[in-house]
Amino acid sequence: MPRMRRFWDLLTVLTDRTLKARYRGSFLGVYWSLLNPVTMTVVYTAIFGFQFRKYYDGSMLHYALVVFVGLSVFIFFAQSTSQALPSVVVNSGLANKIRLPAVLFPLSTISAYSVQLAIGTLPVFAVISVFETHQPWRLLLLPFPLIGLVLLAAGVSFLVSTAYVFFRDIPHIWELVTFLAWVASPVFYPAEIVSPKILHILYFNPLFPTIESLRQIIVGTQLPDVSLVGASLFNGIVACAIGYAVFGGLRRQFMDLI
Amino acid sequence: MSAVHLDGVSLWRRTQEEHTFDLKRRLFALIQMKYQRPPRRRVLDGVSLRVERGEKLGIIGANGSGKSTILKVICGILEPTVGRVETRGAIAPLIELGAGFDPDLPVDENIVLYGVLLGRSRQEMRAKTGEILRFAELEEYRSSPVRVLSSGMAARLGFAIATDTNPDILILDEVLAVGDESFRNKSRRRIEALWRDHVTVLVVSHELQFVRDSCTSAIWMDGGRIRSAGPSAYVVDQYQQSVETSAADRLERAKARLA
Repeated sequence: MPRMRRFWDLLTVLTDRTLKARYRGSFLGVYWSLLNPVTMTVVYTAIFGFQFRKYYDGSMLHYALVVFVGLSVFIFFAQSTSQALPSVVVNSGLANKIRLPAVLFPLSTISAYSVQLAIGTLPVFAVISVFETHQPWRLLLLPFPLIGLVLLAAGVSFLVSTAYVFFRDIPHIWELVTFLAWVASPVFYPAEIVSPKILHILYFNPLFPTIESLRQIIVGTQLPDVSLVGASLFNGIVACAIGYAVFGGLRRQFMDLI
Repeated sequence: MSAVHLDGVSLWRRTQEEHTFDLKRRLFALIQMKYQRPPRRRVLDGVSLRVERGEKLGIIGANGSGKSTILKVICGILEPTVGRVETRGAIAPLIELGAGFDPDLPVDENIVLYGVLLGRSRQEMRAKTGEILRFAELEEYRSSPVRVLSSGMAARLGFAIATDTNPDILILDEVLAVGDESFRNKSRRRIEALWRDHVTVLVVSHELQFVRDSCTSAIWMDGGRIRSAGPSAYVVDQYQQSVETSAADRLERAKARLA
């Protein structure tokens, strides 16, 4: 138990440090994190809205909301993982002087972004959902895909931060991977316009169930598909398990390379 | 029961210089079947050591002989490749003060951050903040970022946090003397107080006189092995003799070459 307690204390102070470093002196604080998806939503809607609205009940607003939800999820994933990527190496000074569980470094990055997600994005999602669907019971489902998302980001961040210890050219590759994932997520285009053959491949995108189920909960005219929510959680748990296993397996070699 | 017990500890470390941190190059090497196991170097070689409770152990030796590595193994930062490490009680590492500071966070938040990193709880650190600021004589800097402190002030703060604890085992990499003359006296008194307690101290130092006077025992590290162990005066003498002999040898050889 004291070990759990210590881990929690360490995670709290490191998360706090990351959050404060990011929002020092800005009065909007965490709400800055909404600026990026909002701006991009405006741009995408201006450019694609006119053509694509027919896939979204003929409504520009629906298109915009769908884009906003997808963007928020995607930006969370891309930013948190790319920030966690160098975390083990960046904190090598600390790790070489004080005995700390190395997993704290990527984890505290993800938890800082999760705090941001919980107090910045989640309330906005909730408000949109209630106004859009007039079915407040949907809010009960809302946290689950987000938990799946956080777990997925954590698992991936364990993998990429491990990889960075061994290969310092990973950031370039990761940039490419996230860009591919962005194009391969039906965020700013309707899945219907993709040829069915290619669409099968898109289903392998681990972000797909998260984005799709959030979209159904928040904007959908159709009822949310619980199996998609389950798939999102499942993806997160699997990613976390794989990531943690790889991280733990190679952790002993870290100290010789950082 | 000893405070620290190392049993046949050996440690191989990868040599970083020879590691290619380049994925492309590694992949090509794999394709061309040129992949080799990474080279490793032995930095500790069968070290066995027992430190009793309350003992003050000085660790001496040339640079690169494994002195700091031993401390890291005892702290648990490095895990031995072979052998066992057992420690009893809370370990307080005092290695390079201020390593855990975040320059942009205010002083009081840094106190909590650093204290938690060193193994204490958040609540405890919040309660102690005032006391630590007083000792470091930085009360008026409570909410300024650490960045604005001079290096002397930062060292004072680090010292105040790190020593404000009751560790069972205190680990010092080089003896601490920080700040100006008056603070130096104060910090010396605090170290002496810790010394008088039944704290087990392990200290790496190049100040042989200090090791001889203040430590009860010493080990002399040489090439990752314990070359000599015993009462501090005995080990320091042996070490000094060897250093002098090898210096004299070098002088002789130089003379011979010149002649």
